[in-house]
Amino acid sequence: MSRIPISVFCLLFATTSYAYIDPGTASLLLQGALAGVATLLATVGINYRRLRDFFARATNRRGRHTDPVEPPGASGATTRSPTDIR
Amino acid sequence: MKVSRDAGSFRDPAGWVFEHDRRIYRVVTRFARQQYEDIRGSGLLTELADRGWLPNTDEVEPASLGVDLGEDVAHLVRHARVPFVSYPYEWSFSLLQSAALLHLDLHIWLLNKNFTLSDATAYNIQFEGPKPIFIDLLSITRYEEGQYWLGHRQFCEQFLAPLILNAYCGIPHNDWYRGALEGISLLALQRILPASSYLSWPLLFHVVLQAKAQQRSIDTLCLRERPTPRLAKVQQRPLPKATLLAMLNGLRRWISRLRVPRARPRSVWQNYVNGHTYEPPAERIKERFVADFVAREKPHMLWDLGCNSGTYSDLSIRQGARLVIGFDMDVRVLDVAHKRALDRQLCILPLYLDAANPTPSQGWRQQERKGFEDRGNADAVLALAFVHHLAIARNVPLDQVVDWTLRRAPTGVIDFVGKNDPTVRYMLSTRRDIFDTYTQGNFESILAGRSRITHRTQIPGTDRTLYSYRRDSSHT
Repeated sequence: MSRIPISVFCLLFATTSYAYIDPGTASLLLQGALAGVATLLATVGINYRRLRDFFARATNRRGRHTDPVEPPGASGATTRSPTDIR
Repeated sequence: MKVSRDAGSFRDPAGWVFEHDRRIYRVVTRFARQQYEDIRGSGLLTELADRGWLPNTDEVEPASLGVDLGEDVAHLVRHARVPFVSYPYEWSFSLLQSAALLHLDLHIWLLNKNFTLSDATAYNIQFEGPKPIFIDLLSITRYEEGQYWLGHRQFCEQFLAPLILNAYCGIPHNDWYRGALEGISLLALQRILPASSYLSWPLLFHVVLQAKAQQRSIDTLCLRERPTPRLAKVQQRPLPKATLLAMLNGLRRWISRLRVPRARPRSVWQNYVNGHTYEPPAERIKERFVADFVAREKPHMLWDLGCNSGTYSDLSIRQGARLVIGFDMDVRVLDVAHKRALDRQLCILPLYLDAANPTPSQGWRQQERKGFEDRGNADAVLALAFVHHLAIARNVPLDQVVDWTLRRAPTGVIDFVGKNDPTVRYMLSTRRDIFDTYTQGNFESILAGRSRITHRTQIPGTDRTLYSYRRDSSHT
């Protein structure tokens, strides 16, 4: 029982009592979220390019008789790094 | 002989600073040997000094000084001295803004060379005239791919939050910052932000969300719950350098566009240049008197007490003063003085000072950040339209005002504004005149009792008299 009033007391004064011992976790969480968004965008970008290249190749196979064949690696998908975000 | 380390130089195990023979030295400890040699080997120090971002620095043989530096010395460097040390709570909005922009420019530049900054304290920035300079080379460390910006929270509290307080709330940061040396708390700031601030993405991200997350982590800690595994998981996710650079560049763009809203009511002295209480011919006499004084004295460092928008600081530089530190208690008018110094390339540093309550010595052991009186004196002082603001507005006895002013420099210009002057009349209009000793005769006898009056001019058509003086050696 005695824990409840203590917890309420702690919450009331949390800002002033404990702010100074926080080692910047909030800032790191925010940057982590940014890093997550960057990774997500990079993953989406890479997979989008892979998908686009897949369909491009499929289209090429169907129209092989008339369309010139793209040399391997010319799509650029293999040269991009995961951090290259647009 | 053992040297005494600067009282503010104790937080970083990488090194410490001391003064010897009026020069500034920095010991690099064994802890930071590799870090320093990496910086030195990359040629950064010269490049940064050439850009004017770091003071000129050269390496000195530790044994050559003939002082005891203790055992833990890997290297010793000597820095060009910053003429007058100042703190963020003495800077106006535009000074703090230029300091923040230098910090970001430096960080961006370093990242492009695969270095970074280990912290983001505003106390690592000083001013040479109106221009900021970064003074702590041991904050520069090697960047590792994926690394987070460890100084982000510190940057937000020590640079961003005080700027936001000015720009979004119209409140000068100085008094709050002086009471909270580590900067303005984001938790407190986000409680007073206007609702419209939620529409600004950088404000939402850097202040509001960070404050909310901070509150959450504090609550978790307070309730003695186990720390969430989220943080450990997050830290394993690398922050791409491009994202970090985008964050820094975004902050830079945003901060450079921040402005203080037009004050309502306007600050008292913002319009002083056009609205003072005497005519142009009288002003020309005052200018001539000050110009002659500065040309005679050619002071290296002159303090302009009550500098306002810097008119007389500007005049003093043109007459041969090498550096002027202007002081005023109206923090908004200091922005005008700073702009003047930048536009005209004048070596003027305008700072916030309430002479009736000067900056105290504070921080750890009350020595970490030096008080106004512990940071040396000037070669000459201007105290124009200054005395009555202390003697009448703040009830400081006249002899104490004169004593205080005389202690600032061995020589100076001071004026006495009599009770027939419109400003003094206005100051006394709603209160009882309890200032029987506030007379020109008494002022002159106090001044003459402590110094030699070298020149004296009564400004025609006004109740103002100008004096130049040289202090007696017994009143140092």
